[in-house]
Amino acid sequence: MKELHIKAIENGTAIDHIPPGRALKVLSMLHLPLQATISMAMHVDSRRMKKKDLIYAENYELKEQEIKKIGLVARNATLNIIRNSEVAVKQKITLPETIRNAITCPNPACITNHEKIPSDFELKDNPLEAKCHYCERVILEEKQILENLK
Amino acid sequence: MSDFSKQDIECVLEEAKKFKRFSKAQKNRFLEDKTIGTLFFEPSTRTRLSFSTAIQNLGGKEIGFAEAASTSTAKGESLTDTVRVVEKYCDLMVIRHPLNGSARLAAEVSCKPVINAGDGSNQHPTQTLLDVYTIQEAFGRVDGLHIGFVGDLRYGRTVHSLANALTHFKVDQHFIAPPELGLPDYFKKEITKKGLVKEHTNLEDTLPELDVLYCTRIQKERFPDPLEYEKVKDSYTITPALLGHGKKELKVMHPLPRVNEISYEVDSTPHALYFEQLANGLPIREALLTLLCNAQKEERK
Ligand SMILES: [Zn+2]
Repeated sequence: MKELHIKAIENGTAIDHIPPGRALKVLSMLHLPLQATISMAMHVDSRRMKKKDLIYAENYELKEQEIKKIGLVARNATLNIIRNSEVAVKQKITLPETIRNAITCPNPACITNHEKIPSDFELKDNPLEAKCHYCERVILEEKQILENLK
Repeated sequence: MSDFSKQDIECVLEEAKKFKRFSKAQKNRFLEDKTIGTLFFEPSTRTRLSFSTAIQNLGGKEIGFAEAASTSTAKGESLTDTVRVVEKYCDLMVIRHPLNGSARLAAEVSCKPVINAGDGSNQHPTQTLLDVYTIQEAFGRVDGLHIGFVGDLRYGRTVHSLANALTHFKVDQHFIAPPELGLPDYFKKEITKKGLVKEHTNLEDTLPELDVLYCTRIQKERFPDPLEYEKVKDSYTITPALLGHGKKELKVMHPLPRVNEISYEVDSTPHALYFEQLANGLPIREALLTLLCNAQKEERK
């Protein structure tokens, strides 16, 4: 089943092992361009995860910043860059150490909510926490991080 | 304040010690030919006076403004742009701004050094440095002391900033507050990782353990229920009778101004350290200004 899905793309990106139910969140966060033909599958049976989501972006290779953002909401997902129907790059997506311009700081008095500058967060895993580089506010709940995605 | 390593802190304290001894005549050439920009986007008379006096004592020139209403910021200019303009005319900037993280942004934008003189409820590093200095001066050391904080530990920035700096030293930190005003979770987690932290609710019971009691204001507005405020208010008021439960050498500190956290009878007791603390603001600011201006000189060489 899995093999079939990934081979269905000639060129582009396949994101595998997304936690079940998260694919919509990933897509809404990425704002992929029209050039990318997108299909996805949700709640697919998986040996490793029991259930998982999948996203295919045909004719589009994800950029560094986009991969970082996925690391925030779908840690441990697998990224496959497909070229000429072959997997050219296979990479486990992990939580990045820092992420710019992806999270809106929940502190209303934070300078990033008033000046035209990108936000900047330092991230830590186990348990997940995100610290604003500017106001030093720490977000401890994954739910709160997800609510504040740009 | 998290940018300061233990070495940085000790370096500023050493320098401040010198400035405290210096006469006016000895000080007045350290900032010769230097212009300091003081950008006060929110008024703070005490902090500004202290910086202005330090600049004058060191023979420097000062440019800037005391409140944003009189500047182009009031016309909608961004902090970034204001900093880019002012840095052309000065060697170092002192910034006070109501928004959190503003000083860090200014420091990133500017190629001149920036001193954070308070960025909203976030940090107030000069206060923290003078607090550590005052403790060291009074005890001859910081290591080994038991330092207690009482008052608004949830929102009080001076507490967080100082508690963070003290994790560089071998101190036991005690936090005494009603549950409503206890340390925020994220902060507790952060400093527990770095040092010994104990939480208490009863001040009288904790007092015998302490060498320093650091008080901050409990603001009525912080309580959802005014009755709750009335209940806790008096149990955290420092009086000579209460201090009788503590060590003879116990010192009481407060960033001032106080409202009714410390009764006036404490002022004349040997416990009161807050006036020395206030006076130490000047040598600390003189030391910081001098160190930062000279660091810049060395980099240019
Ligand atoms: Zn922030």
